Amino acid sequence: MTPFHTEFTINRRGLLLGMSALATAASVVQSRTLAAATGQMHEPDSVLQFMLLSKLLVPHELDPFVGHKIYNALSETEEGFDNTVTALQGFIKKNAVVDVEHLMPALTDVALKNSALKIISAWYSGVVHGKSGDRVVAFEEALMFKVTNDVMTIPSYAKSAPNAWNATAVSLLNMPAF
Amino acid sequence: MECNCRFPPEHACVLNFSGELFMPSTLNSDVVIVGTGVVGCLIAEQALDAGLSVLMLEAGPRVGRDTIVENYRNLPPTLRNHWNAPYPPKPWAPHLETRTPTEAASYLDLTGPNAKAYEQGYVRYAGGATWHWAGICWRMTPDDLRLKSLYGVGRDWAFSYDVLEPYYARAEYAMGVCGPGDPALQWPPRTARSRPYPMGPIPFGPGEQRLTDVAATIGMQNLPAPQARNSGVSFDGRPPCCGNNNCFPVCPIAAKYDAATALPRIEAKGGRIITNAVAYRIETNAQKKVEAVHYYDPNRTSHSVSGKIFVLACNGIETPKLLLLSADDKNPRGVANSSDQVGRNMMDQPKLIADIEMSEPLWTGVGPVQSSSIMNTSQGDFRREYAGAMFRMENMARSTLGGLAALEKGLYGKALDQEIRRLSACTARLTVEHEPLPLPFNRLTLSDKKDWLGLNRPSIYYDVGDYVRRSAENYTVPLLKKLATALGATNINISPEFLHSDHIMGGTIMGNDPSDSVVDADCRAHDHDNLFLPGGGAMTTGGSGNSTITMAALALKAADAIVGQLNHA
Repeated sequence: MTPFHTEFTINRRGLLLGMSALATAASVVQSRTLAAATGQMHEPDSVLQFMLLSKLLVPHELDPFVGHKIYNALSETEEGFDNTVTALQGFIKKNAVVDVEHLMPALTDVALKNSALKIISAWYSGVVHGKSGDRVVAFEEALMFKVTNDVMTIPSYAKSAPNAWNATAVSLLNMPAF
Repeated sequence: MECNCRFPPEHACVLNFSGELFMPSTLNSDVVIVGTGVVGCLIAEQALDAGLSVLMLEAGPRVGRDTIVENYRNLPPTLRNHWNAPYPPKPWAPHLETRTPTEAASYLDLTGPNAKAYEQGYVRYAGGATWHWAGICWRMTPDDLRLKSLYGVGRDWAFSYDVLEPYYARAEYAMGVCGPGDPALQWPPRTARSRPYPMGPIPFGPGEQRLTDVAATIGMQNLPAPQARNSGVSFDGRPPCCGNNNCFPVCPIAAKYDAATALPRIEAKGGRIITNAVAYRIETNAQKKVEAVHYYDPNRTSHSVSGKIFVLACNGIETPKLLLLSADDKNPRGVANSSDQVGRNMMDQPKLIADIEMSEPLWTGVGPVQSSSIMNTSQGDFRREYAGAMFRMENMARSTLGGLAALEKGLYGKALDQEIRRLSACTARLTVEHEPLPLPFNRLTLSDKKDWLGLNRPSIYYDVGDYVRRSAENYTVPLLKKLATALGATNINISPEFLHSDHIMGGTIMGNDPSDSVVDADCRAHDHDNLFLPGGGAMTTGGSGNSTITMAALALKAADAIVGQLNHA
């Protein structure tokens, strides 16, 4: 499965739905490959802070590349997003919050709570909603697919070898680890 | 600006959009085909194989599969169930787009009590609507072709099932249709097949197996669908299905037949394909023969193509539109329209959907997005009173729907994961598609509104009719609720109005009587013996199943007639 991440804005559809989308995606993949090969995956501190916060909000394995895309999109659509991250981090530290289940009920600041939900939503849906349109930051890495990936196909990706699937139904309780 | 070239007046230069003089081209071919969908491509290959020259005109662009797949993946999740969204139309070749109401009203001009049920999705790209068809290939039954004789409703076809059967078999091999070998699981029931399916059936996932088991308890037989998808093996240069569960809006690996896969083969055989060529006028001569098709390129420069045989296969809406656009002194009602039936009898299977929630997981999303249907509900003496219908379940992965719905609830952590999993596994969409009757008042005319090229947009009046409404009230909705209940539904939400099935039929209806039909049994226009109008428009009745395999069979029958006609000439 080749990672393929692009950004999407409805108002710029003409630009992004054509070859430029492929070119953008290809160049991103190329940069990522180059950076990985040279060991230069140095993220700015703001992105690292965002990833630390995300790890608490979304207790799963998180792809740092997707995280960088979400951070960029939220920074462009949410005014003062770095301050929001700092405030949430501060709240977590001050109250010694250990997981999202304890954090959210304790967050009485509505704006901060909404920002936390937006971050969670971006990781699961792969899209950031902004005033100028939606920005797709992930497709197959969107976590909503991981929750059912033991049974359901990620649309457009192969399920298995030809005709190798079957009618076995699994329990809802067998949550995949991801 | 004047034209000073030495060509005769009919070839004189014209002004293009930019105000520049441009000499239009005139091309020639034995067979001229307008449209590059399944019907056009099947006829093109048959004609080329018979040694005829073929030229195809396509209104839209030729776009690679990789581009369409990336268009799809780059859509926001809320738009991924808009099947037309990965196919942005060119300005000169508009088709329906549905992401917003404004967008939906920008091409098809729909009126009538069931306008919503005619929001037909088709693609004006090379390859046509097969890009995002489901691939399902239910044959019509012998009774479906004799509605008038058997039940006193609708019309009888110009021929019996026995005539159509060999063409069904050829179409199944031409498109690569997989299906069950067990006669008890084949459709139509108790009807001989001249050839087995070229491939065996595609296995069920858990959802379709559960539906099959539950439906059987209430007398509904869910059959494995014959489908133009390679099952377990490669076929016709295309790979086997790997369960990508994305048949619509696009099969990413071409395991499903789409006409785009035929285009390189047509070119290799010597066929010529001109894209971005919008046919706008059919020209006839004093002998009532078609002489030329005129088309615009994206600069609105006009060109023409002459030939011996002309085939209009640009789908059930664009074909009657083009015939009506071609009205002139010789054809005051439009070409091929002495009967006044062009554009009438517009049909589709009016669809109702039931979104259900269950206490136990069903697990759709394994295998193709559609892979089975309940067909035994489409036949019976009740058709004297109301329509038969096909029931099925959408088998698409519901992770996106479950994910977005759970996020909407403001959940997080383990509760979010559990709710996504529950909503994805324990919900389903059931659909029922009703058999339509050919009703002359369901009519396509030319709208006063114009498209980008200045051509009249199609205007369509649509009323599903009492035959369908009685079926919904007395038969299908109660049965839909019964099926949902048997599946363990705790919540059933049925659509408040009829929707479209994207099976466009009837607008150039077939019949033996030239006074009340447009084409004969070979899809040849009664009025013009070198004009063929095969495809959904020619279908006399619609049945309950998907229309493409019948369109393909009619295309092959027309191809035989075309080759025979030219050889005889």
